[in-house]
Amino acid sequence: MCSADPKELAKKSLMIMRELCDGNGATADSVQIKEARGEVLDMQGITHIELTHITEQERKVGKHIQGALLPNAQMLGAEIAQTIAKMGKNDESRKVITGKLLNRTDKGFSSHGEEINLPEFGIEYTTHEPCGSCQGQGGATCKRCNGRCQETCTQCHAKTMIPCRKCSGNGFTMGQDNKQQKCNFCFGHRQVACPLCQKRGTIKCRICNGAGKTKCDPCKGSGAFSVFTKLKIAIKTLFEMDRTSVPAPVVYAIENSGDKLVAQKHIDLISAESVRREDGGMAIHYKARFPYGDLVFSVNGKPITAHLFGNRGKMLKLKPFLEDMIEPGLEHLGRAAQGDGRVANLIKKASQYKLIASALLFVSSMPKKKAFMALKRKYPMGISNDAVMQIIKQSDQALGNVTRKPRYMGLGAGLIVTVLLIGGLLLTKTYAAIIVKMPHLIFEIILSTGLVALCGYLTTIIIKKFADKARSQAIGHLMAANTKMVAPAKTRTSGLYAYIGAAIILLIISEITRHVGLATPAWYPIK
Amino acid sequence: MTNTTLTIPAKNGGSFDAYVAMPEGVSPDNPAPCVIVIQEIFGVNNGLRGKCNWLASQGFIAIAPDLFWRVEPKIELSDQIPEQLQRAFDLFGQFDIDKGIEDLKQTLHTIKGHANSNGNVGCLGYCLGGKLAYLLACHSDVKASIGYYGVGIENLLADAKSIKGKLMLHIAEKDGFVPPEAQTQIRQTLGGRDNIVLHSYPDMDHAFTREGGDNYDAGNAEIADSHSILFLKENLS
Repeated sequence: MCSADPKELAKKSLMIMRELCDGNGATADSVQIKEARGEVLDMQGITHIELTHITEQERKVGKHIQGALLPNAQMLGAEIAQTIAKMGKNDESRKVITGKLLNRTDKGFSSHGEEINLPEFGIEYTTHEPCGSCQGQGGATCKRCNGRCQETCTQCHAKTMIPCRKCSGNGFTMGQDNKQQKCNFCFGHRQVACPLCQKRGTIKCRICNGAGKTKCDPCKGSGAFSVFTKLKIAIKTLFEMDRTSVPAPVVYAIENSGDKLVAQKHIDLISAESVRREDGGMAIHYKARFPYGDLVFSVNGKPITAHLFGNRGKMLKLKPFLEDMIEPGLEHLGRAAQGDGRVANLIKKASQYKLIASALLFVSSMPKKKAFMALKRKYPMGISNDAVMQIIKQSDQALGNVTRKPRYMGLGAGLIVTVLLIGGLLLTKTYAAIIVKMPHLIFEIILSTGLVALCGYLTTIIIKKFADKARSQAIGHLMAANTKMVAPAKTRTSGLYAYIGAAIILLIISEITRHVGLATPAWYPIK
Repeated sequence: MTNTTLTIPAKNGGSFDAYVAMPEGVSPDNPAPCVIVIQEIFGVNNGLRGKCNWLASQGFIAIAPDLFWRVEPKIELSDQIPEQLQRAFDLFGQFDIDKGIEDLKQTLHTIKGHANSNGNVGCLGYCLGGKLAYLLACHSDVKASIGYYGVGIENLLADAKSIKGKLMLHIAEKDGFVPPEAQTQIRQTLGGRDNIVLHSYPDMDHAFTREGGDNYDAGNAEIADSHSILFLKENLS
């Protein structure tokens, strides 16, 4: 496998630099390569693979089995340790595990601290534990009878006899001849055997039904719990490389985004082989190759250094230099953002720099966050993120300033239209003619709300038109004929004033109708 | 068969009587299952005692508690005498269902401990008793409950989720007190559950098993009773 020629890459880098600098205080021809040194470097790296595992446990009442049944928790621990050890030694398992990395586009190169689950190696175990509450007996001594199985009879209260119901305990009843006669139920004994306990004085305990024991509540009488353990296997990666064999900027690039460097073919992997470590562990050994060199550009005669790296001519350690080159433009943009002077002119001057012109265009056609991303894509190097953010912010403020006066003018014009529309309706007999046909107050409220919404909307359109015109005067020269623009900065706020203004005008005109004897909206409070 | 009366202590004081019919040959060494027979609105009358005796003849210790004791103890009414019928509806109006369930739970507790009981207790009720049998199934550990043409069950279907034992309902399709919509509601909610059995009797009106009653139908009564006996034997023996 051959890496790209460093000389060719240097030429490619020059093109990129010219693209960045052209129109930003320099011309393409003013960018040259002053010095270029390049070579193809080889490096070695190793990704260690450590097996890790987690266990998830679930308890269930009773004895059930899911997966392998083990006698106890100690055996479970030993079984898990043994399973993992076996997995590390087994060739088939090792092939599957290393394949997880080798089958990826980055082949696991520079993967460090990554955890990869291996669901195909998941195992379930079951252990049975005796219930702690009943010591595995499944039952507990009945709390009502304390295991005696019997309780005092509730009918005779342990007396075994109850008073005779027929003679009420008198021993005799009144006969048909009104003479006392011996009770034929208790035969004069006044008492009869207790019908509930049958003269025993005790009855079966009604909680345990005479068993003396009740089901143990925690284990529901089963005496045991099943513990289901799910063993989940994962691998954790650890990447090591000989940091002294490659230049420091490359070490940084590999450690931070080595996977992308391989996947995007900045680096060529000559080999990636699964190896058995001396301690029996798993690892993948890599041999990589990439072009690397030092470049010195001359931009307007000033030297700018960078390191060339990878097959696609990536430039490392290229310090931000564009900010200095576009400084006069930034000054104009800053003043425009503060409203210091003729904003339209300042914007025009600032937009002579391509980078600032792009920022103004992006801000006009998309939200600020997207504009930032778009500018960053266009200028991926040579300027810091902070500077890009600052340029986007100032562009937005500058465009807001250039449209300020026109927005006020648009608001004024819109409110005049609102007065004409609402006044035309309420201060003539038109309104009375309309509301007479309305069966309910709610329709009148809907009409008024619709009127306010319509006037607010019209005013917003007018504001937008005024603001658009001012914006076009400032940056129209940058726009292509079919450029789709977002609403000029701050027109939404002005639009809100338009709706509030329309509502206030409606209230004022409603009040006027009261005094001039015209039909006042029914919702308007008269008292 | 022998019969006797038990006095059952109520939960919050007082006591009430219960008629007990004991099958032949039962003893502490040869115990029998128990069935609580739950009254209609006519109290523990001859008809209800007859039902207890019939159950005793089938080998069950049958006990019929006097549930109207809080209003008027030992009341016995007939549906064939208009004044008594009116009185029965008056008593029904004064009857507190919750207190009734409490008394039934006390009865269950007492009969469970009877010297001759095997500890398995079921219940069987008619009309008002049918509804109470349903509620006892919902709110106690009674093992098997049977409701004959219970009235108002359709309004208590939400309670059915707590039924732990077995339940059997006999539904008279032409029941004047349980309209067809109510019957449909009962079937839709309770039908298809493993522990609930529903029996329907086409063309039968309310109280079709009450001997001597206007709607008595000997043939269907025999079918319903044979279902009940089998159900009780299966679940209480």
